[in-house]
Amino acid sequence: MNPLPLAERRLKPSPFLPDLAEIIRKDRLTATETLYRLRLADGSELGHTPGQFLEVSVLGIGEAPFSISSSPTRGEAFELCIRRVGDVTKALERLELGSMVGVRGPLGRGFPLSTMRKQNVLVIAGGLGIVPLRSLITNLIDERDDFDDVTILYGCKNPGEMLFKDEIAQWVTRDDVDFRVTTDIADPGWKGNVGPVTTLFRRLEVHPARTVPVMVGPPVMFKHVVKQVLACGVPEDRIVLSLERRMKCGIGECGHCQINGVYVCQDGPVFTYAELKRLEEAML
Amino acid sequence: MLDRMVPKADLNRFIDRLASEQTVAAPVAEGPSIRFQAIRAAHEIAEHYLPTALPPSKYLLPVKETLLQFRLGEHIEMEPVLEAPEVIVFGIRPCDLHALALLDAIFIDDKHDGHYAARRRRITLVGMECLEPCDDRCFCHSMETLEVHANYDLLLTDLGDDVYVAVGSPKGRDLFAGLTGAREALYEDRTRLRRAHEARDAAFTPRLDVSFDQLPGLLAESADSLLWDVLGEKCLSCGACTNVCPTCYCFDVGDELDLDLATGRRYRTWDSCQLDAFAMVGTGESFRKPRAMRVKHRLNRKGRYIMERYGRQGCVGCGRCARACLVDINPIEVFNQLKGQPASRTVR
Ligand SMILES: Cc1cc2nc3c(=O)[nH]c(=O)nc-3n(C[C@H](O)[C@H](O)[C@H](O)COP(=O)(O)OP(=O)(O)OC[C@H]3O[C@@H](n4cnc5c(N)ncnc54)[C@H](O)[C@@H]3O)c2cc1C
Ligand code: SF4
Ligand code: SF4
Ligand code: FES
Repeated sequence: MNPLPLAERRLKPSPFLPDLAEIIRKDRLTATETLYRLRLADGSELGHTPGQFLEVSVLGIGEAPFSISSSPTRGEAFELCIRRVGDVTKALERLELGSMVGVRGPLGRGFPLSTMRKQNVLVIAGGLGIVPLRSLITNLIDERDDFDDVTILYGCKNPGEMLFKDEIAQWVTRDDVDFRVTTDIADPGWKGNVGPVTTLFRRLEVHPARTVPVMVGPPVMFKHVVKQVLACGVPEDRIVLSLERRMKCGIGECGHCQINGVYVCQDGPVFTYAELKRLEEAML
Repeated sequence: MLDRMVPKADLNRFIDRLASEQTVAAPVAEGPSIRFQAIRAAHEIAEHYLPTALPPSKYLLPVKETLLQFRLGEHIEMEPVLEAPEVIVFGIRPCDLHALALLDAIFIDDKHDGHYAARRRRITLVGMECLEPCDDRCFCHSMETLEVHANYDLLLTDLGDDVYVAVGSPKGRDLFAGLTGAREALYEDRTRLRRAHEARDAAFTPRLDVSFDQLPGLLAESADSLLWDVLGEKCLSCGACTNVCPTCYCFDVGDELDLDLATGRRYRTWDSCQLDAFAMVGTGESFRKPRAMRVKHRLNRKGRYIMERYGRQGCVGCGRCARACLVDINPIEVFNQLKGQPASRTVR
């Protein structure tokens, strides 16, 4: 099939008209999370940046935003890792291989890869935050020579909630990536670190002028981790974080995702701390 | 484009004829309130009116609007629905014309929203100037939305027995071409118009203690004001204020399936930032839980955020929200109280 150029695919009478994408693989990762591999039905590439998201539709049920979890360096299929919580996410789980879903996007502003080049990148993931960060991590690894030290800190509630275990096993063995993981609560088989993700900072050396910290996680994590990297001396405009808000349109119209005057769907979801710190509704 | 002068009687006959041939909407008295409605004859139009209960923007962003229709099955079919009835809306006040200009800037220039654009193409806007203030809740004079110079097809000014007609677009010119009794506006007609404007300018007085372009700064300084907590205590979170506001455009999106479970549609409906669930996410966390934060958000959108993003008034001073509010939350009072106690955490 002849891929349609991106610009042409986006030229539509309605910003709400999705493209069709086929589910070509489904892997259950945990009791509540499933990894979906999809391909656009017209054969075109998604053309995303790590950190961007899609509005995914199960027609007749609804539409919801999900981060793109695969890296643009990995070809035309793309992946979403979705936690079952409500109508759309349950309906997605029921879909079989070969089913079509609607997708709109890629939407929003992704991670600032150009700021990270030739710098140390410190990735900090809490819970589902690993989903968009996996796109970034894979991209960093695939273009490894463009970046200096790559450090990844990953915290989850308990070992059973850990996502992407197979990939993590590979990241751990690489000597050009420093990967550290912790859980809030250990279970009998767990031999690693126990405690919140901030405890992983203890044995970490951060060069404030050469490091770009990138964090995605729940609001409580941001509060603590931002404090920690600021204490290391990292300037505010180099601290990168991605926020989650309720979203409906994904294009800066419907108002749901607004943080003060900022639209998370359009101006974010990725921001620098400098951009957010004066916005009280950012809750940082 | 050349302005016209027309005797009122001729204008009314013209409206009668138009209304018999196509959809004409105008403000109509319905009990104590005035609403935009389809009319059949000019005499149905309310003579004097406050801003209508609902703004005319409902013709561009209806309460519920279909965005897509689809058919499920082996091959999913879907197509956008551009519902756009042809309608001539008579008697739109200048404040509402300013609000529509803002919506155009957002939905057409910025978002390229085909649904809005299709409706906008098929609506004809006939404005009606205000020559005296409607009540003590309006503050268009302070928001500089009393005068309007663009974004209408025709703009009417009531000069007694005659109506002055400013032509704002080719569409307006063509609509008026069929009007008998109209003539080109002459120097003396423009003099009458100017006198009417002078009388109007004397009748309207500022209601805000700040100019509209100082509001963003004032609101930014007032982020910590205790007034927000006071308003949060009063507000019922009913959402009436956002429903009636001509510059409110937030919406929710949903799907519905027909009984055959094969066909259905996606629609958008009005939503309100004053409702608790508006900013709630998957974890059940609401990012704007306290009422004080929600009231503050609305008034910041009106006085600050929209202005900062789109360079236009996000509030046009129509006073509808104050008239609709059961507990008398009134932007005039809010802005003036903030002005009276800048940056401090004291109130009254
Ligand atoms: C930018 C962004 C990226 C995201 N990425 C992922 C991801 O990669 N993986 C993942 O599993 N989840 C992700 N989410 C969260 C995901 O969008 C919600 O879990 C999803 O909308 C729930 O839809 P539902 O129909 O299944 O639930 P619903 O039946 O709609 O509701 C269940 C709960 O979700 C809340 N909710 C409803 N709509 C939204 C909405 N649009 N956004 C947030 N919460 C909502 C409701 O308040 C309710 O509490 C992301 C959200 C955002 C904003
Ligand atoms: S905020 Fe109130 S006064 Fe301002 S435009 Fe909206 S309804 Fe009118
Ligand atoms: S109309 Fe008044 S009470 Fe109702 S939500 Fe608006 S400000 Fe609150
Ligand atoms: S999701 Fe609609 S404005 Fe951001």
